[in-house]
Amino acid sequence: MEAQMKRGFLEACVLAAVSGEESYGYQIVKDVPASMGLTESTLYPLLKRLEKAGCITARTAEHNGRLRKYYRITDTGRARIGEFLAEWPSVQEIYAYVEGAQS
Amino acid sequence: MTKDEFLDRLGNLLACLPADQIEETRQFYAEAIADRMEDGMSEQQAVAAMGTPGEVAEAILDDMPAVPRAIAKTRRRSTVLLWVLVILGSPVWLALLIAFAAVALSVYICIWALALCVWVVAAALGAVGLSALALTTAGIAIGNVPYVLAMLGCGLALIGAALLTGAAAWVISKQIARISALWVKKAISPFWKDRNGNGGGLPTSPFGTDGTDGGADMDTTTRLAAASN
Repeated sequence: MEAQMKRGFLEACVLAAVSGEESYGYQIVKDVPASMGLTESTLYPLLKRLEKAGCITARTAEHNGRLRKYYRITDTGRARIGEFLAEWPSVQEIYAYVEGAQS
Repeated sequence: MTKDEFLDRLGNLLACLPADQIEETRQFYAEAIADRMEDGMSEQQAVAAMGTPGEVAEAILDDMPAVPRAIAKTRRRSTVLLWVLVILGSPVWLALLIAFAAVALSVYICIWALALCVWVVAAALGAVGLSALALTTAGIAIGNVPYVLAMLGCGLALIGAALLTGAAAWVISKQIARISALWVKKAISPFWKDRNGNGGGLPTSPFGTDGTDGGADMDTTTRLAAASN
């Protein structure tokens, strides 16, 4: 997948993964579709970026005698998902055009 | 590799970062490894799933703006090497930096001089228009009707032109101010990333445009187009 496009998809996936209940690193890695190939080394900078942009908030809580960081989406993050979804018609249009040009 | 070995190596590779950032990173990976072990993996497997400490550190450093990244990566090899490069390279980078700043400043001044020209033209038109109106009153005083009409016509036309030129000058100045703000953002982008605005971080479109360049470029072009209309 093209790098820039993948970046956008990954951001949307991670936002989606924390949009219901709050989630944590390993859970997000498991939840995001395997085709994205998300690993911790990609996730960590991405979470920091999203947090700095105000799209998610983080809190630290105890789990089994150790600390775990939980992430939750904010209104800004929801707006970001909305923008992502609003792009779909134009993506479909491009797909249809590229596919149509093959026949 | 054990979890502690992995975290220690990662910490060493990131030694160029502030201590709180290193600690935050270590905590994130400690949590990720512990979660995988809780999920039934062995410590070895869990650590292997993270990738090598080198890859992990690379991913973190790659997210930094160009100049601090270059400094961090050089410093990672050796602090001495960094200082040797900074000092030996100073005839090059210092000269380049000064030249860059000087060119940017002169371009900036030229553009504002252009805007100033438009303001001067507007002021000149206005002044001539007002003088024509003053001459109109003089014409009334001596009762020369054709002269009064001619001067009144000229005066009003000139003041009209002055107002139009003034409006154009105002729009141009506003655009220049806006574009120069964007330029400043672009100029500092290799050194510092604006995480919230257009300067960096999230791309405006989910399908691409690396916020740092694409976003700003697009803005400039749209605005230039708007200005020329």
